[in-house]
Amino acid sequence: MTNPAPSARNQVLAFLLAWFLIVLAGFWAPSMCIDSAGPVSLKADLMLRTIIVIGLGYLLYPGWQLQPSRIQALFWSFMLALAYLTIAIYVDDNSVFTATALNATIAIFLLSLFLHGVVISLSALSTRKGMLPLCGIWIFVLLFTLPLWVAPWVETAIVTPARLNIMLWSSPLSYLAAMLDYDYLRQQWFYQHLPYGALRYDYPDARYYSIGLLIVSLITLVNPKLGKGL
Amino acid sequence: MKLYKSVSAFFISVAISYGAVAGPAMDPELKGKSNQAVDLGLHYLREHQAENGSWSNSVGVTGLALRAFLESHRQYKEEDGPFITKSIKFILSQVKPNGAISESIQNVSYNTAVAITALKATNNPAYAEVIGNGQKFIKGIQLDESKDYSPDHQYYGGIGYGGDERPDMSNQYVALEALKKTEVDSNDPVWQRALKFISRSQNNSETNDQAWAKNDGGFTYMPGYSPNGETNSYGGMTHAGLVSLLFAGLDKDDPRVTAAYSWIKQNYTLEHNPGALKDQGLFYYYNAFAKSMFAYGEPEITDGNGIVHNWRNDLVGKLLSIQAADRSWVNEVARWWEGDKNLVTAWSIIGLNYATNESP
Repeated sequence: MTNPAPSARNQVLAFLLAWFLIVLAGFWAPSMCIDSAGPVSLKADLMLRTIIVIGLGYLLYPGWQLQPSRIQALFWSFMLALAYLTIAIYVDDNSVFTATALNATIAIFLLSLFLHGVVISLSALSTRKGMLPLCGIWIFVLLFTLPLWVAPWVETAIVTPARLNIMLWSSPLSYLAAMLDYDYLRQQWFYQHLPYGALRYDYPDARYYSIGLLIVSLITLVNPKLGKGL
Repeated sequence: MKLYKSVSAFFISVAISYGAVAGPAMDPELKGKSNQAVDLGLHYLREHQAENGSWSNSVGVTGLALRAFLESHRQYKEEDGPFITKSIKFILSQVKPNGAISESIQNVSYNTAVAITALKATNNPAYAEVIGNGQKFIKGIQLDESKDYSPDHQYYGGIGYGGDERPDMSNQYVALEALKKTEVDSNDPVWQRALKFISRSQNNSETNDQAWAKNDGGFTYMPGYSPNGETNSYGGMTHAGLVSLLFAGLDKDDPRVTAAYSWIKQNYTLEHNPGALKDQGLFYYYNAFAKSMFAYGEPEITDGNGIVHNWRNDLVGKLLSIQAADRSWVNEVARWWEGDKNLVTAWSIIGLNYATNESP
């Protein structure tokens, strides 16, 4: 965060290189995760690529090494959405751009914006700003994997459907599921190894969740009192 | 000669009196009690219908409750009141452009199947288009060549939840029941494809080409997996498997049917869901039991100890004994949604409806 600012040309190159790596990973990484049970459905495939784009998009964000700004975060989120759009059009066998892919694109933009917004907000409260991207990664990973590590207690501690929903809705994975219209908790591995298949739960309303993410992101990004010195 | 006549008369009288207790016909007193229990259960459901016409805000539970009303001994119709019309309205409000009928992205296949089965039971031709589109949706999610599944794949012909492509016997059986009830042509390829998947979910190495298949004749949840350990057979799924085989057009002499029926005989009980973890899926079992025994068409069944049972008397007796004071049914083990009184009450009433219907 304290590195001297590189030239504008180098910044553009760094963004382009990172973006290109993400597009490549989005294209090729899912094919390495071969599902031995059978062909992977389009929605499962899109879900996997969505997670890859969001995850790598955060990790490879050039702004961590350069001079980050709110505009950069907005721009980067837009680039990630564009990267996903490119991948989704390629993945769709019929080259028909589907509503599912469009929803995933929106989800990527909003989640990326939200994550950057959270880090910028935390920077106003922290004196160790260099640690913030790392904190963001932890928050990202913990929330995304929440249904996994909470699973052993869902039948004993989280007994009511309302509590179960609150827990699931806290994970961006459930938001992605709602946006992609994909009930990932009944996917084979989840069904066989986690207790969710036997319980009643609902996914969040994708529209309200999206609006909520957008509002929170805008507040964190626009409010000048937050993120001072980042 | 006189002695012969006396002995014959004795045996005939014994046979008649035995028939009145455990013969093929259902005990009339028990049938009367069953009808009372159904009335009480339907009363419970009427009281617990939501403002939007649903039960438990679920297309699936609403479809089952609606079916419980329509197929009861009262034979309710749409003109009988809002408890019928409002539930239909709720179901129709959840129809999606692709033909699915579901309030959420979960259980889409289940919900659609149960919904079109209930709509068909109204006998109202106004719902023919919705039913037809629902059939197309269900057939569309069956795994086949169009989805890159070849006939030798273990999942070929299977139907899953509709949100991904993992099929299972539970979704398969509910989907096939819907297709059967809504009169899909018996020559439609959906049946032959379905048979492939059903056969591959049975522990019957004679007809199942999967290496894991055992030989007890029972069914697992899906090829290679059972929630009750390894690929163990259990009651709920074996009854679902048997009725699926019959829906798909097999007769009683088919080795898959005889093997499944043999497992049911050997494991005959209504005290628990045989092969399952304690009381899990108990009411699912009772519901599937009623449907499969009804479809099989034998009023009596001989268990592994050689004891003859009138399954109708047994099922009705069991369900009557566990009806709660508030007129509902519920499983204390809430897994698989069996803590939902609306669902479990609807299942129980449907089971009783099958048991008291003696003319398949």
